[in-house]
Amino acid sequence: MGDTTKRYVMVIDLRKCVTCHACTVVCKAENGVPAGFFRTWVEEADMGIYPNVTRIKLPRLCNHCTNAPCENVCPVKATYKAEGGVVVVDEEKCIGCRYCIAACPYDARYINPETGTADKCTFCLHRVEAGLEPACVSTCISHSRYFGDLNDPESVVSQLLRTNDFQVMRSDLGTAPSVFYIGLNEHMASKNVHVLRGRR
Amino acid sequence: MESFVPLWYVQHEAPLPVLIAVYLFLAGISAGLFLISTSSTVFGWQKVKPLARPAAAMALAFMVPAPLALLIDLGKPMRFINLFINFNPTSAISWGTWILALYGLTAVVYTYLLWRGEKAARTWGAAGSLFAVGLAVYTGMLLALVTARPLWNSALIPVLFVVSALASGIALATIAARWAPRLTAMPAEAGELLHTLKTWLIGAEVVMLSLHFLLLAAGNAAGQATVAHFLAGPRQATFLWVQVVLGLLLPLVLLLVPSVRHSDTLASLPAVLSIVGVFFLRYNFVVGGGEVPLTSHLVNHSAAPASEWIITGALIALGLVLVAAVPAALRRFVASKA
Repeated sequence: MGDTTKRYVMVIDLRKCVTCHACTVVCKAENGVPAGFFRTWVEEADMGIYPNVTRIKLPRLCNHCTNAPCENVCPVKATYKAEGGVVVVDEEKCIGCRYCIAACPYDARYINPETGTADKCTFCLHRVEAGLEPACVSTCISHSRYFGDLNDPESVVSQLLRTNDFQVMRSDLGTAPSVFYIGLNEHMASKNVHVLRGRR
Repeated sequence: MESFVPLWYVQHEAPLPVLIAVYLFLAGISAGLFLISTSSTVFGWQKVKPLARPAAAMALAFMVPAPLALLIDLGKPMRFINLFINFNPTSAISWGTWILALYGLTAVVYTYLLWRGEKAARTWGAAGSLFAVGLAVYTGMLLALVTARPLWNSALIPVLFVVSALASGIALATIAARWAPRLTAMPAEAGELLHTLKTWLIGAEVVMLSLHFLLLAAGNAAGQATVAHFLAGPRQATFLWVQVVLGLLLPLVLLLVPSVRHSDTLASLPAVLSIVGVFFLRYNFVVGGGEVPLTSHLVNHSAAPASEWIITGALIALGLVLVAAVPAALRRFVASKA
């Protein structure tokens, strides 16, 4: 268990995102994410009928849930909360049973083929501990992503959530995510899964 | 109405692979057979007493390949020992690890004592029955605890898994009695003795599955997407046609037809069909259930590599070989100790 006086969160202002996918790329480079897997990615959809059409964007990552289903189901306690409530996987402990992947409501986890263990976003804790921002935040060209300590009222994330309406994904599941969105479209928040397509 | 067109999504992998379904299938058969054995030795159903020994031996046989499937599936197989060192009370796998281990241990002792004809078998059988039910229950709870997936997140699932485990155990006993009575020592009347119970179990499966899917269809978008995926989507063939029609409804009808019941050649057909049905129940729920996307608009990818199917075949074959080998080995072992 890490420092509990802090609560690290990410606030994503969707009004500013231009879906350049720079966050996806820098995350892969920073964390050595294997081909075919993502720790963060950006989803897109079109909504409306011409001429009233909107492009919806949704940057995705582990929601670092306060009540994390992945942590609850891990049989060996390899998934735990590190500094600031960041949900991380102990690579030395994980047995690769995939139960956490099944339990995650946000599709945030995968088995890393190189290590055989569960893998996911860490909020770039190695950078945060060195006083830097997560790679996706520091690379975002439109300043759409913000990172900080929600328990510090002066932090930029606290100020943003104080002055704006915000949403989380799948609030119905009671996971209490640490990723907040400003301007999240309801279609994307709860995912209208009626529209399904097969691929591959 | 607003139109919504998904443009760019990541396709995720279905979380649980075929081998997990195989584990649930084999463990279920073992638990089912064990309970058939103890229904006379512990619970006093004297009519099925002749089945007690062979059923216990068969339960042991399937105890071997079941955990192997789990072990092979782990990303880090050699770390399985961590399961015994770290216990997480909120994880079904943590409970399952100990249930499986204790079930295996008690099943070995019980079977040995039973074949030797010792009275202590009853006590071990009682403990083993508890673990056998626990084994079937936890495999259902494993899925039911995943709150994000409506197909899994239901208290009906553990019950369905216990009922289908029993049904598959009975089916296997029936098949053994018909096709390998000598090797397995299963008396010829096994199928007939368990006929009524089996019919009720399959009937219960039909009812539970129907109720579950009705509730899903009446539920939220994720539940409706699950129903669409299973009834009209990519899982239609393995769910609707193989699991439900071929593996559930057809055997139920056949069990109710008196001429089939008394026919020498056809009597074991419902058993064969229902065992196929139980395999596909596990397969569809574990793999197919994981295909329904949670956040993507693309169906989760689940195509298993050929190696996984080869291992599946090998594990089932190992179970069948042991079914033939264990009774003889037990007989010899007991005789040598006498």
